[in-house]
Amino acid sequence: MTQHNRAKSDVFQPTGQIQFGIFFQGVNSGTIWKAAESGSQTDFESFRRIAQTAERGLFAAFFLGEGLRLREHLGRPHALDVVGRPDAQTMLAALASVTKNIGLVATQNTTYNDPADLAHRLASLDLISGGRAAWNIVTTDNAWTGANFRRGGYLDHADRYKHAEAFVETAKRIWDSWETPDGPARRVLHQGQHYTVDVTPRLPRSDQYRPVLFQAGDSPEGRNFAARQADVIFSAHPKFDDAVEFRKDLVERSRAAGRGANAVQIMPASEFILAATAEEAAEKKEWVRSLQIGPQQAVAYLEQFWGRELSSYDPDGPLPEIDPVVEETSETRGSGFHGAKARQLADQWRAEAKDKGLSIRQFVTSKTARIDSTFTGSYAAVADQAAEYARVGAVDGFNISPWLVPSGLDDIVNHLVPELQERGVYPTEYRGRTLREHLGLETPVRSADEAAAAVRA
Amino acid sequence: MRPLRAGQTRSSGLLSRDRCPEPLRWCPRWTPYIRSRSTSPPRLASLDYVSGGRAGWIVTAAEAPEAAAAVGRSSVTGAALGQEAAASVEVSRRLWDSWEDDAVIRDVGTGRYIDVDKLHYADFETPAGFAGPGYSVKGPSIIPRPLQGQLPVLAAASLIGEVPVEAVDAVLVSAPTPELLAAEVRDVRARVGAGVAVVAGLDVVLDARGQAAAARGALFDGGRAAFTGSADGLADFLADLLKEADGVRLHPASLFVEIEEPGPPGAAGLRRRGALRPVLQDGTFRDLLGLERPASRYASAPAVPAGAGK
Repeated sequence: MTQHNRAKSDVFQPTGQIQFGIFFQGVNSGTIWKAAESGSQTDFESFRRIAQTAERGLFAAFFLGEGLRLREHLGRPHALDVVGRPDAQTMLAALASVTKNIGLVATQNTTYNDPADLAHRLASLDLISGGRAAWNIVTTDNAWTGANFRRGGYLDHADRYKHAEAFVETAKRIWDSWETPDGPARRVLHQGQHYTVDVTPRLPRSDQYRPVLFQAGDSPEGRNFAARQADVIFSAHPKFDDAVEFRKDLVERSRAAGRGANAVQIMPASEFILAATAEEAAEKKEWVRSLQIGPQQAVAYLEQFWGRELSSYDPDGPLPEIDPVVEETSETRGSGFHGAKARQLADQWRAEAKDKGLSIRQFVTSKTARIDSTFTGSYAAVADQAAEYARVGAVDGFNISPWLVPSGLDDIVNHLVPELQERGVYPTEYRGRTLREHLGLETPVRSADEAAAAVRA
Repeated sequence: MRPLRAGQTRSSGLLSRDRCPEPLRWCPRWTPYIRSRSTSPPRLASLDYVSGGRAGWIVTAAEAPEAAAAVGRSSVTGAALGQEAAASVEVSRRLWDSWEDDAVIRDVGTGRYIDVDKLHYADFETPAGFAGPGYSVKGPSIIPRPLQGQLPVLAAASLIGEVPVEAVDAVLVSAPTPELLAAEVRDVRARVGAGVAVVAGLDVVLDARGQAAAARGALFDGGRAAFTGSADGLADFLADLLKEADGVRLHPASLFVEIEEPGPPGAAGLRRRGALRPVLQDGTFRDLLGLERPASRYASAPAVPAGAGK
């Protein structure tokens, strides 16, 4: 069977297909809350509506993020962006009852969870959803987040992937512990630097054997970790050339890990701004950006690098001439901002904004990470673009963050999906019942040796 | 399973407790060993959101060496169990209150999604003399205040004292036999006072599917009062019991037989007798228990000062 050969092959073979996931972010500056169409970020109805729309569009997966501590700005909770998300697994379990096919992906960190507890909870979601659960593995390590947890900030940054890998391997052993679908379960023991586990797992395998594993880290260590452990990478490289490079890099790492060239799929984070014509789409983009980066957001963006209040500066004027008061930005805005060299950055930015004649607001809009992940254009043009990704195998799909909740997927499902189907690059039905089947992933096979090792280790 | 049911039911309360194969489980029996002290109150708050205000929490505390070993901790025992439970309830209640009800303002004019003055750090620390390793939780919660404000917290009568009675909304009462149950309810009510609901627990085995209840009764291993008989007999028994208790918690011998076969056991008969209130469509679990929706403890507190989160 081709599928089988592909899985074992050391040669990368594009499937010629793409899939969609939806990433309901919950905490971010990309979700517009100021428009008349903006719905609740916490009511079940918002989640139900968007998940069912995604399912109508044959999306492979519905993702939820994870929050461990509210972001802060100048020492207080950040006020300007959408914040306050429900717990992922609780919400996904509820969504399992109002959806039939779509995969349900919970982002969960390896630092402030316990392997036995998390593996059990994910197995529960996998069972009640009929084999549709997945875990988006993330790591975190800072003491600021740890202040919300009994264990505090115990983990060194350098150790985070070592810790995560031991965690994931333990979770896999727990999911593998039932010898047959009816048991018996074998006891799982793990003795490591950061924790010990001694558990006889209580839940059987699911219809997809065990939850699918996503991974979102992008450092070299993160990529190697994914190449060894993950089924899908939730990448940060949606631009075509970057995506092609990232694929090459990952294929190399996956081969080096002994998993062949096709074992790990790639779904970059992305945003779609679509309309019937290119002109309308461009106008829509202006509107979207103006609501994502309002005057207050623009100033606040600079404040986190300057470390001081800048509210006296005109968002439509030039960047502040005053210098930052901090050496490095803190972790309180999230790990992506941590450790930027503030003074150096401020000098660069002032020069850049001056050169290009950009105001604070225009400059900040040009700096936000979403810029590279946005597909803007007519339905047909974006479908052509996506088809090219599929043809060369740059990605296996896109994980879409809607900028409106809950109606943000409507035009994608109603207009883009049919265009993609016409081009033969998008599913016309769900391939099977489980997420593993939708994604075309191999079912994990446990050799007799592995089974024995799982028990012994 | 609790959240799954939340998507499909409308009027029953959904309780989270330990030792269930659900994705949601949080109670002292398990959590003394869990690092994620602050993730579970938001998980319960989330159950409240997905269920439209029908979540509750049964706090239990028991020695559980197996659960402790699963997460590599030593088992909590003796007096420490009660302290763990009390601390867990206190952390949860603070976190649920840490967003005032109207904290999400969506004020386009000022660009503010939330009013920071209505968010509060929980700043919980275990009290002096805490038996286990002390800990602290910063807050605020990562999710807005639950729809019910505070989830109803239920605890077994045996735990009251170790967990202060003011910390719970309802106590669960059991007795060795059905005949002793009403008296036990009276005793507990005298002990806990008027502000707390008293809920009686009862195992139930009904005549069903052509089989006499007595023949099916061996399903229970004892320890809790068990009613064995017909659905009508159960209705009679509950009508009497509900003169003393604010509610009953039924433990059916079989989820399929006792719940599905005759309908909710005896419920229609009880309503006819006026012993059971009419179904509260779209009511919250607090409504069902006759509890007011409390204001946040921080509602009039001064705002989080700048720099407090460092």
